[in-house]
This record gives sequence, C-alpha cells and structure tokens, in this order.
Amino acid sequence: MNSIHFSLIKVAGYRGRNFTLKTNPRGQNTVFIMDGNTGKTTIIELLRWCFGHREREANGTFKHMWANPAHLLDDTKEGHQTCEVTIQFSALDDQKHEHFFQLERVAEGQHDDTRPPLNENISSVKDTLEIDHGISVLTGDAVFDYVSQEFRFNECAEYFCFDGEKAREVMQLASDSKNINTLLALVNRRTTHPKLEEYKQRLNGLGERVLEEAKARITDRALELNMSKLNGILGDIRLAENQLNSFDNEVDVCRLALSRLEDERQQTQNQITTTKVNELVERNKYEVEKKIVAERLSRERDSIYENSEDWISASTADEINQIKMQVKEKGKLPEPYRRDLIETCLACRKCEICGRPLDKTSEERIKKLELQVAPHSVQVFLSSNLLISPSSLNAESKYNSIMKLVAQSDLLDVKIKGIKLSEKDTELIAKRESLDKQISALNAQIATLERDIGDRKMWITDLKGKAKELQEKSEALKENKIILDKIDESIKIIEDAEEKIKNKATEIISSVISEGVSSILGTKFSARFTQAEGLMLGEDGFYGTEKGGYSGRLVLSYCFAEAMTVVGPIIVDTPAGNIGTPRENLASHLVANHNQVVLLCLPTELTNFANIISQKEPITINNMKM
Amino acid sequence: MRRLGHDKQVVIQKRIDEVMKEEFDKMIKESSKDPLLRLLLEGRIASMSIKEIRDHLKGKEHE
Repeated sequence: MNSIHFSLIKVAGYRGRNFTLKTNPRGQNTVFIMDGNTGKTTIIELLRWCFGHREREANGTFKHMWANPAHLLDDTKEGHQTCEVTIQFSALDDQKHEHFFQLERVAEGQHDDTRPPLNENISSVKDTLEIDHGISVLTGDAVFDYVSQEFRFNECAEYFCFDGEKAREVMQLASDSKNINTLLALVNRRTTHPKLEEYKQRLNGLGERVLEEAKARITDRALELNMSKLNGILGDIRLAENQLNSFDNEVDVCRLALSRLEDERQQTQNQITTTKVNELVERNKYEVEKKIVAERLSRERDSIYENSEDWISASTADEINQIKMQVKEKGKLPEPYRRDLIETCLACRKCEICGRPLDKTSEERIKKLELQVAPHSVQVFLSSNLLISPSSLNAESKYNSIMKLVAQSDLLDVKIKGIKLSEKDTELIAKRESLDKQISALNAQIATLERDIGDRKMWITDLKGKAKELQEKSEALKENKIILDKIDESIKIIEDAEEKIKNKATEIISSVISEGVSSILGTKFSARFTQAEGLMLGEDGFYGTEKGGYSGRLVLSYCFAEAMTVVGPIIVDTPAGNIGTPRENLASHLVANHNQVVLLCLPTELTNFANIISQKEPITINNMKM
Repeated sequence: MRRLGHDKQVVIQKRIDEVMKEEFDKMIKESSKDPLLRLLLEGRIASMSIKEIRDHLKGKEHE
C-alpha cells in the first residue's frame, strides 16, 4: 500500500494537555499554527514513540527533547491517569482503493514521587489498530508488526517526523569525521537486503549442523575434547562479535552525546566570552591563565615521574643490589626450574630427569614446585646489578619551580573568588563547569569503549585462528570439510553482493540529497555522501564539512532526512526558523516532493513559508490543560 | 522545482529497492556456479542430511 495520508493526530492526557490536529483532505497539505511551548515537539516525539516501539517495549522508551526517558503523565495530578495518542491515516492499495487505519496507544498509570527520576508509574501501555473502520482489529505487538511491514514507519519515524533537534543532530553527525560510522550505520541499515541476511543465517546454521553431527559421531575422548573446545571457541566468537557490535553502538551514542555537549559548551563559552560584563570577562581571563598554570604544573610533576631513576643516587643503588642478593640467596626462591620440564613430568606422570614413574607424593611435590617457580624475568632481575649514573635531579630547583606555579595558581584563585558575579553569570560558569565534567566523563567512557573494541577485535582474530586450526586437526570434520569450505565461499558471494548494494545505494542516496540541496540552495550548491567521507556540502564543486554556513547545513540535514524516509508524508516542526532566505525554496521543495506536508509552525513562519506549503487557511491550535 | 517522482511520493526507496533486486538477481545468476548456494536458493538444505549435502557437493566437484 502507498500514498499514505495522515488525517488526524489526537493526544489526550499528555502531561495534562489535550491536542487534536485534524488535517485537510487527501491531496492537500495542512499548516497548524502553534506558538512556543504548545506541543509541536511533543507531537513529533509521540509519533516517533508510537511508530518506533512495539507495545511490549513502549513503557520507558518515550523521550522528549533532552529527557530520555521522559514522563507522559501530569505531575500535578494525583491518582489514576491515562495518556492516549490516536493517529488516523489512510493509504491506497494497488487498485487505488483507499483503506483507513486508526492506531491508538493508551498509557495508564499515576504520578508517583517515590519513583525518580520520572516520578511516575506507568502500569500498562496498550496498542490497538482498527482497519477499515473496525472490519479488522489488531492489538498488542501485532499493531507495530503490521504497520512496520505494511508501511515501514518503524524504519523512518525519526525522519518523516522531523524537527529542529533532529536537524541539529544530523548537522552534528555530518560535521565531524568521527561520526561517519554513525551516518553509515543509518544508511547501511536502510540498504540491508533481508533475504541475503536470511541466507547467511541459514548457511551459518548449516555449519553448526555439520559440527553437531561430527560431535555426535565421535567416540575417541581426545577428539571429543577437541570438538568441545571448538564449540566453545565458536560460542566465544559469537559472544565477542555481539559484544563488539554493542560496543560500536555505544560508542556511536557517546560520540553523538559528546558532540552535543561540546556544542553546548562552545555556546556557553561564547556567551561568557562575548558578554559585556567586565567582571565576567576578567574572570574568564583569570580562568584561562589558571588553566595554563595548571597545565604547566602538571607537566612539571609528570617530568619528575618520567625521570624517576634520577631520584636514586649511586649509594641507593648499592643498597638495592644488596637487597636483591638477599632475596636471591635467602628468600627461599629455588633455582630457575624450566616450566616445560615440570609440565611434561606432570603430563607423562614420570620424572623427565631420572625416568622413574611418579607416585602421588612426588606428583604433589612437583605441583607445589611449579607454584614456587619464579618467572624467568624475576630470576634475571635478581641476578642483574642495578647501575645508576650520578643523579641529575636538582630537587631544590624543581621544588622551587613547582611552588612558584602553585603560588601563581593560588593567587589566580583569590582573584577569581574576589570577583563578584551576577546570578546569571554565576549560572553560566556553573553550567560550563557541569558541561566540562560531563564531557570529561564521556571522553573517558569513549576511551574505555575503544579499548574494549580493540581487545574484542584481537580476541576475535585469535579465536578464529584457533578455530581454523582445530577444524583442520579434527578428523571427524575432515570428511565434511567440503561443506565447511563451500559455506565460506557462499557467504563470501553473499557478502560481495551486499557490499555492491551498499555502495550503489549510497550513490543513489548521495545523488538524491544533492538534487535536493541544489533545488533549495541554488545550482552552485550540491552534496556528496560517501562511505569514506560521510555527508558533505559542496559549493562550486568544493566539498567540506564547514561549507554553506548554518543555513546551508540545515538544508543539508533536511535533504538527508528526506533521503532516509520511505513514506510519502512529512510532518515538520518549525523548519523555517534558522533557514533564512532559502525558506521559500525549502517550502516549494517540500510541497514538490511529498504527497502530504503537515507543518507545525510558529506564527512567525506564516509569511514566505507556510503560505507556500498550503494556500488554505492555517489552523490555530489552542493547547488546553485539563 | 525538481520532483523526485510523478506521484509526489519519495521514490528513493524504490530506486534502492531496484538496486537491491538487480544485485540479488545477479547473485542468483552467478550462484549457478556455486552448488551450495544453489541448494540454499532452491530451499533444499533444511530437508537434506549432512551426508546428502556432502555427496551432492562432491558429485558437483567431479562434474
């Protein structure tokens, strides 16, 4: 079914408010005038929630602007409450017959102070879908499954419901080369062929069958152990690959959050720097100086530790050498036995030196001996003499230089504290400090995740090598080697096809985005989206992540959103605000490329924008609190 | 103003679907040289034993 047309979006009880948006008939666009804080973003977020999450996952997944999860109910009202979202739309089948759908999601619960951070308890979320005025009714997860399969709303709810926040997110993704993977993941998800994925799964399933059968026929204990080991390794590979995927996703999320925080920090810093209040400017100057002093202090301290050998004088080295000798001679460390000798004795249950079989007592003794063996590196360390050249550390001068920096820092602290700031300025400083902390925590998290990703990749390579070796060794697998080899070959053919699809689809997406950009910003502008460089705006054939200014990049994000959507209508919230002159072109572009535009706009967007979207009288929405 | 499609629908997915179909068809055509992929596409793997699959592949290798 296609030619979707939204006819009604009704919200009842959302944080104590009601909205009803009734659109113009099929074939016409609709403009709703909604002033600030009257629910424009709420409508977009509620639609994304209904189309993006099935009933069983709905509780706790509603997000709103920066709050994730966000609350749904009225926090000023006691007792049982409901929040109901009703979405009516129609679509045409292949014979152009119109079918009607009403999707309803009802969340029930109550405000509850004992459940922070949302302070509400949602006891249930229920979905219902009425098809053709009740001829067929679906409930539960079947609702999501139906609308996802039939209309693919789930794949593009983030983009056909578009707002300034999403535009900003896309702009940030496109501005930083570190985000290429996140952008590509969006496109790759879009271009993954479901059948090919299924074939790969079936081939992997066949591989498992071969292993299972081989395992079942093994009678030899050693071979059985070998096979168990192989199964274990294959399980570990699956586990490591899952972990790798989840770490990759987590890093993407962190990078996005980091990019937002850095953006916000930059804005706060700009506010601090450009403020006309002298005190704040002065304080900022001292803070910058203090930061420089702190960095120098840290470098001075680090240099002491980096050259720590300088601390030790030649006489200390003698003392250390004596201690080492004592440990070696009297510290009850045995001669350096060779570990492999002990291991062979225990494995063969006979003494490798005299050839006698080991009784239980001897075996126990050897096991203890194994525990006592110091590693070779320790033996080498104890046997070597510590040589220290005369100390080059001038402790007094280092101390003086550090103390001077500490005094400088203290003085700057006094100056900073001596400056009286207005409440607003203090807020700005506090905000910046809080953002700094969050940025630093996120950077640490990303570093840890990247380390984990590196570890997992090494682990996977190592495990795959071991698995290959075991497979080759295993007699039981030899006769089925032909199947295992063919599985590898077939998977390679499928993966090659997938790669080709991804590359061609990326080219298509790139050309569609470019067409959009040119039609809105003018022919000197274009866009390029590649697997290597991500999304870039071009001006006169030169591409870059900083071309086009804010307005151009906003248009680029709109065109990206259009390329990501798979349904005809687009529901947009306050799109013209920061666009500037190209707003008329953007309006014409939206009208030309979507079978329905639903515009939620501010009164200031009526001229040169909303009037192009629809010549019909705009509908003013009064958002009433119950 | 340039339109993406005559019926005002966003047609990008159609174009991507076409590419998917084209590459998929190409792969199926090429798969005639790959006996295991052939079995998979014909939906026969699930009903065959490991021995039957092995003999089938060996037979194809000797052809």
